Amino acid sequence: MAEYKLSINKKPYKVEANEQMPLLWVLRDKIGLRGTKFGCGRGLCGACTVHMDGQAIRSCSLPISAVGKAEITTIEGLSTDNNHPLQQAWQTLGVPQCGYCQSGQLMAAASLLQQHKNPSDQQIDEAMAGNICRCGTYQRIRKGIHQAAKTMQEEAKS
Amino acid sequence: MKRSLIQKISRRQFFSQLALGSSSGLLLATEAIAQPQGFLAKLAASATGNASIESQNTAFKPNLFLSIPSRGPIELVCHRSEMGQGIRTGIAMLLAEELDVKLDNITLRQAPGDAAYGDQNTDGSRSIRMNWDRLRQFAATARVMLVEAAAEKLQVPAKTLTTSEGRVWHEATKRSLSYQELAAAAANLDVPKEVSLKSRDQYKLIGKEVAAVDRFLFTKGAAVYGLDVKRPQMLYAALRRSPTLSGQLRSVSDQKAKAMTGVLQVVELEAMPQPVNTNASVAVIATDTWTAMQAANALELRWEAGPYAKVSDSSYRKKLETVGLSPNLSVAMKEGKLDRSKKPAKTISRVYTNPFLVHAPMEPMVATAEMVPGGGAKIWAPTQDPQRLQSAAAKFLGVDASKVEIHVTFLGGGFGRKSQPDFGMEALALARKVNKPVQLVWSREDEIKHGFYHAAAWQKIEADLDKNGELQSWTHDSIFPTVLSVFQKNADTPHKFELGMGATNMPYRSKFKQVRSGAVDAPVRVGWLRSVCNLFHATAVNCFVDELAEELKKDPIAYRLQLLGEGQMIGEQDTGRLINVIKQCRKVADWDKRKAAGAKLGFACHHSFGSYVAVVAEVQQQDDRLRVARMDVVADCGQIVHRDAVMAQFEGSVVFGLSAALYGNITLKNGAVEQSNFDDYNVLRMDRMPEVHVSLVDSTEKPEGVGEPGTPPVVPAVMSAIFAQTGKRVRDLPLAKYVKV
Repeated sequence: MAEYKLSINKKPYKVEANEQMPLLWVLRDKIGLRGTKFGCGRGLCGACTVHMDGQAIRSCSLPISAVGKAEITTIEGLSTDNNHPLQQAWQTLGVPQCGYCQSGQLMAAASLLQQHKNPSDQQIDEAMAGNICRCGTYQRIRKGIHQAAKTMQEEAKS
Repeated sequence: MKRSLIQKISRRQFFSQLALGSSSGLLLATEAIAQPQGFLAKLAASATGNASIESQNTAFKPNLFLSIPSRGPIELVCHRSEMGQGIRTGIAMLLAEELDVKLDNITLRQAPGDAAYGDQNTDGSRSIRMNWDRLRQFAATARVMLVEAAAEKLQVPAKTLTTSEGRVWHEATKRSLSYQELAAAAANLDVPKEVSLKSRDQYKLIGKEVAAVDRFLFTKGAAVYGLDVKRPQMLYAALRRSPTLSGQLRSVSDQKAKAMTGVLQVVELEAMPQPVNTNASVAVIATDTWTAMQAANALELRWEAGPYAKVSDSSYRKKLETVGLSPNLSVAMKEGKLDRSKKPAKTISRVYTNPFLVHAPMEPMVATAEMVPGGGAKIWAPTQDPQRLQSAAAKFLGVDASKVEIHVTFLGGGFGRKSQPDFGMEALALARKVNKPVQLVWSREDEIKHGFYHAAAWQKIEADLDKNGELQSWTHDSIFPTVLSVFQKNADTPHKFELGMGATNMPYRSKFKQVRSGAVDAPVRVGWLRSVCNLFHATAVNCFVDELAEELKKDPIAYRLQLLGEGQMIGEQDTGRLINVIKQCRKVADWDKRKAAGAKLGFACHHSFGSYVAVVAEVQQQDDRLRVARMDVVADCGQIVHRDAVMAQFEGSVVFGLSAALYGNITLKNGAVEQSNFDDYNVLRMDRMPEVHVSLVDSTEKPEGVGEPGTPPVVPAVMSAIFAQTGKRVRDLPLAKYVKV
């Protein structure tokens, strides 16, 4: 057990945890941020995706001792008011079905849009293939990413 | 005291009279109101007896599904479990349509498990079908009473009033009253004996594009799933179960586990027989989920494997085949006459096989339980069937069902797996042992290895054809472990309802038809998986008809239409509607033109859960891999209620069907499941997602199933397209075993 100082969604947290405890369970059980989901525990499904310094990572496979001073962003911190262009696209296109994987999908997509302002279908495939959705919302996720990219470009222009 | 007692009785009578007076008659209304159990009973009692609630309760609550307060939002209730099919929005739409309120202006409460709501078992694609008339009538009755209350207040005839957006309007004088303003008065009115429902052209919600009521929760991680439940003083548990069915625990070495910081207790649980079906297990109770899981993995356990110790994948496949080829199969259905006098032009026989499948919902099984004083309990679970969990829990605790509260959370996927009470019962057994609230979280490995699997099956279809390709005889032998095995000990023969999912109700005309089956035991727990036996029956029937067409050098769609002939009723199946979706699909997929241009297309169609679905699949060779490039789906589900969710269900059915067709494969070794996680149990991912086009038939028939009927035709359509591309028939699944996908 050791004490860790974390910055999550730009807020400081102090937690005591086993150094091997994955960030996912620190977020969920220690801090109470339960928007990030457990799906496989081995970085195979993407349900636990959060950002570490803006990069999408699988929080189920990242020990807390490896977080260091990095800024962590979870679904709760993706936007101030549920209004990230991706969240808006997800709402208007009715992307979620059961919704369980969608925190991870949104975080993976947000990271993609930081790297590629107007991603191609192939770039979407590469960035999103690590995020499983058993309900089968892939087609709408793809559409949602394109729509959000468009919104963000229009916002940037104006 | 005396006065309040009188008041109590009169209110209670009023409550039940309201219910009984519903237009659809006694049975309908009593179903929704009879014998409230659990905390509904308390709710009803407090609403009628508690003085403090009495004083503020001028609410109009004509039944369990809607409540109109004097102030604040109208509350609607959803009694079916939300697992991605959009049922919370669908149920709210049925009520809101006839009540005439906007969905944005209501609150939607999730019902607890309670028989007072009627059937809550969210499976069989039945939620809308079973509640279509019932809920609309409940809401329409309330609306009529609100209008009458307004007529009295405004001193105008009721027929001069209209309703919209939660208000009653008197157009002539431009006056209006909100439902809240009318609630107290409406509550004192007699219930009308008959109410009329809106006609189709009056719908404001039903069949329209309506945004899901929960959309804002899903995009900010705020929906509370089973995994997100938190109770004061809650402890966390992880379990290690017998790797084989009916295995016995021989020894436990728990020193390593107990030495871990945060581990509180190691607890053994006995197996629970049918209908709960848990294996013997050892649990670790800890201060957090991860520690519980780590410590459970550190347990050193020895199991005696039990009766299935020697079962392997190949031995079980062989067993299914041996039963299938045995001479004494039982006849489940026989129709027409086998005419042996004329020698058939062709006799064709084919065997199709499929493996066990697991559900793999993104949220693994999880449940939270706590004991309450008096011997009862509370359970929070992502359950599809709260009443089944409630009765299992009551039996286990030896209390009345009213002592067990079942709180239904959002489900992170269900697909039939979460109909089972096993995970909720494990959590309850642990909570009772440690006498603290316990949250049990299954790992993905637990979920894959301890499923209620979609049945492996061996099927043979044999047909005699005349020179025109007409069927002279059709014999379908279907061998698989029955789902009844999780309800009754030693159940080993498929039930009629299982064979009725695509085998005994085969739609094609034949002079003679028979379906046979045989007894085979289940080496694993067998459960329902999205579309159940329809999945393998639709595969065999469609693949076989495809092969007949090939033999006859006929187009597979044209040949199906030939075999269907004129539309007819086969049980509840109207083959005229099947013919219609086949023709529509041929058109929207541009079948003839694309095929002529060289596209590699496959076709399949199927009727299940009341709906009719046709699918065209296109497969392309890309580098060294085959890719399913495009899927066209046409569905006739009768009247559409929540249009966007229906579209989404058919899109999702394609993905679910593709996962099963291409990859799904649970295999056994020494009686235990070999797969463990998403690396060895593959499912479809974004990079293999085809373009999907869904078209819905504009139907005025009553609503039919939506969640399941899209899946069955997906698998054979893809198999057919793969044949078109490769010229090779694959008759076993998954396809990844035979072609590079």
